[in-house]
Amino acid sequence: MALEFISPEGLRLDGRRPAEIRQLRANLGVIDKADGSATFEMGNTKVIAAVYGPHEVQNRSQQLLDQALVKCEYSMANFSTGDRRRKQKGDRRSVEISLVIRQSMEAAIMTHLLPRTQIDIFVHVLQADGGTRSACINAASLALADAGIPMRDIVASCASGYLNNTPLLDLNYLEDSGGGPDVTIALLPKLDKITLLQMDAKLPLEMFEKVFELGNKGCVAIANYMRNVLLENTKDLAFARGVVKV
Amino acid sequence: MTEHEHAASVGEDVELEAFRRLYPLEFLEKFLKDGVRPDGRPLGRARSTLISVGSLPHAEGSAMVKLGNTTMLAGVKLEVMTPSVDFPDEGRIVVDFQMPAICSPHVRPGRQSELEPVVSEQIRNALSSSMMVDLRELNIAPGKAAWMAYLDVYCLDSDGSLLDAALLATAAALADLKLPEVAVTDDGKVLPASSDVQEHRSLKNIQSKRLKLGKIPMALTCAVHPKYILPDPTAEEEAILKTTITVLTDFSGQLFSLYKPGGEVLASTSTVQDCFALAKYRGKELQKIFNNAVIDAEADDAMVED
Amino acid sequence: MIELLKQKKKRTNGIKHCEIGWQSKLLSNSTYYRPCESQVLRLDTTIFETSRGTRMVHDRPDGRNPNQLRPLVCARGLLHRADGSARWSQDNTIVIAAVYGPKAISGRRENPARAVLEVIWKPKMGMAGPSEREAEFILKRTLEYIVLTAMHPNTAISVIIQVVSDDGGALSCAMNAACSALVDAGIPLKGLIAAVTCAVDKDGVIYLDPINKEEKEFHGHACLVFPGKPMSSFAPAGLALDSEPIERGIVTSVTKGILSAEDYLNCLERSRAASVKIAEFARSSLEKAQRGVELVVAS
Repeated sequence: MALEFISPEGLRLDGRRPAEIRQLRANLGVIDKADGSATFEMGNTKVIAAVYGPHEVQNRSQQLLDQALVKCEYSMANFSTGDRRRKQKGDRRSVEISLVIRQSMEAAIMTHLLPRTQIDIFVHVLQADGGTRSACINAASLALADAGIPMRDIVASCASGYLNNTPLLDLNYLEDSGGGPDVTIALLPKLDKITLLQMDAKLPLEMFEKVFELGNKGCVAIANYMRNVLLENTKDLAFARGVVKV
Repeated sequence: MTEHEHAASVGEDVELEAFRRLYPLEFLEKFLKDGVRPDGRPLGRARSTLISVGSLPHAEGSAMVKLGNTTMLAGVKLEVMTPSVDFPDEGRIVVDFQMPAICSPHVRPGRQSELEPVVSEQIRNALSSSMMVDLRELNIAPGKAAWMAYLDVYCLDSDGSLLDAALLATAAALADLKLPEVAVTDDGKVLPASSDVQEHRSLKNIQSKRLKLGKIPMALTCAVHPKYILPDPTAEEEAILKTTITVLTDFSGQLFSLYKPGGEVLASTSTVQDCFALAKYRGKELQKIFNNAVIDAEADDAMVED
Repeated sequence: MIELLKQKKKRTNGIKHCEIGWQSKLLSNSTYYRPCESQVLRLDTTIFETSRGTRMVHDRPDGRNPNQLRPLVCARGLLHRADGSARWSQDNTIVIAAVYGPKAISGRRENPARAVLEVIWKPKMGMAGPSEREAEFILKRTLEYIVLTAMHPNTAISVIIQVVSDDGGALSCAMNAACSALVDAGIPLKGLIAAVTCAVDKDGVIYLDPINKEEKEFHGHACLVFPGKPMSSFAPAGLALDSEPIERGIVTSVTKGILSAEDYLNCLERSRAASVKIAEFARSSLEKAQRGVELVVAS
């Protein structure tokens, strides 16, 4: 028997409506030692990201003369999922996600302004409940902004899916493992450009457009939230430095 | 602030920063001579300490500890195992301390930090010497099933005195650990308590419980300067002084280990005794913080159950 | 090993000269320490004074009294590819240390102010785990105390420890071996160190140099490292330590199990006394080797 993902009243397993995002929460500057850092929560998914750099390139042979070298490392806490994960550094999943994050951030960073430098982005999943990929990209984006690295735009990411003939926004773990398609989008909202589009499982083309549209809207909503967080943070910083008087 | 004053203070800031980087030891000594530390606390004081338990919903027990900027997150996950033949009524606790790349600019991804095994070993030693948890508490059915507790401690921000913070997080996570209610069949199969009783007639229910805790271990790291002893050093102080002594005690100040891994400064007997005294004082302070955090969590639990 | 040693070995500088087999090798280059009655720190009694009153002393499996060290043997210069090497044994605990360097390094590890020390610990069998990693860390930090790293900036000195057999006290044995190997390699040192392990039982009786079985049975044990007594007549004021002589300072202290503050301080006293013996032995074995070298050079 297939699990009912949507009740007759049109509510999802966790009580959301199909086009509703989970509770968002973000904090900047959480790691003192890092040049930039952020935590990002989407419901029960919680990610922490740190940015170190721009600094000297550690491995000279990788140095790029015309742009910055962006590196990314994704890791997961052993207690982040329901079952304890064995320690497996550099398994395929984390290599793939590291690559996805790096590529989508590289598209936003103005790397040509920082030639011969290296920027390290580290993301660590503290709790996983679906949508870790999106949460990681959002956290990394905020951490980069916190580090003051020049960017074209912030990157906002959101997942959407299709279950019980309904497009759903921001899948949680149960919905994610429901067997339906999972579309992850990362958006540069101001430029209105997509830097990441990933999908698994099959989906009819006309349905895909609806799901994609929904995901896109989700990204815009998340981008607005991130922008507010950044503005609030900047205000706090300005106040703390005495630049702005209340 | 006028434009001119602002510019002057910026100039001073740069000069100060340059002095700090070029002559780190002199920089530190200037502070110590006046009886303060660079972060503004008096010589013999530890940084403000914060413990919060039960922050991870996926883990059976969890705790987050902040010691100044040093941040640790510990989580316990349980699995059922078959106990060893030698100790049929004992479970196991496996401790692992990890420093993911986010915690410090000096940790490089893919390579293990030098401190990871050191802190892991010290936590293991502290747990086994203090006998904080009687492993028989983790027993489910003697000889057939017992709990295996995986305790992972992650350092999220590394700013000195890692062992102190990690051990505190370990102890708090174990205090928060709640063994779930399970049902055991005669042949030692462990099922969730809610499973169908009809199929297994010989089912025995085991109530959910918290662990009874013995003496709770704590650590106090002291950075040693030939003239001063600085408890709870920051990463900067540790790097400048290069010598640390870590005293492991329980909250009542009963010593069980003294750890000084080499270093450039020798410790005399009186230094050692000073460190003992500092640890005793810190023990009292920590006990209050620890008890408050754990009692708060238990009160929250009780409210949920009501 | 014997095969190795039988190989012809000649250093170009003529300081070391050996073309000898195992037996003569041991005689020429190694020193024994047989603790006879006079060298035992206190007399053999079954009733023992501790700070908690008079206690019975357990019989030790190898018939020693609590204050007796195991026989020490130290041989130097036995690996011909290494810049310095030493084999230190305490009865059945045998450790070989090899020193390579100072050698050039490049890249991130290079330090323009001082030499970088690296320690690799090879267990008797199997892979190095976290406890070996910890031992490497402790050993590295301990050796940093004696090596004058500022003399060779931009270089690396590597110390490799191979445990040949472990019957308790491998860490202190390795410390002693590493110190001898550094001397053998001619690395400039601030002084020597002497490492001692001691175990404490429930009653607070202290047993020096415990074997594996004792380490497991007893309440707790500690590995303590002290600096050797400086031999120069020139003693600058900086050498004194809180009005105590420098050789009473603790370089390293690693403990396992439970040691109360009182036990720990007792351990300190007892180990300090024993460390004097070990330091004397290390120095005399060094001097004997030195005389051997002088003889070779003279002839």
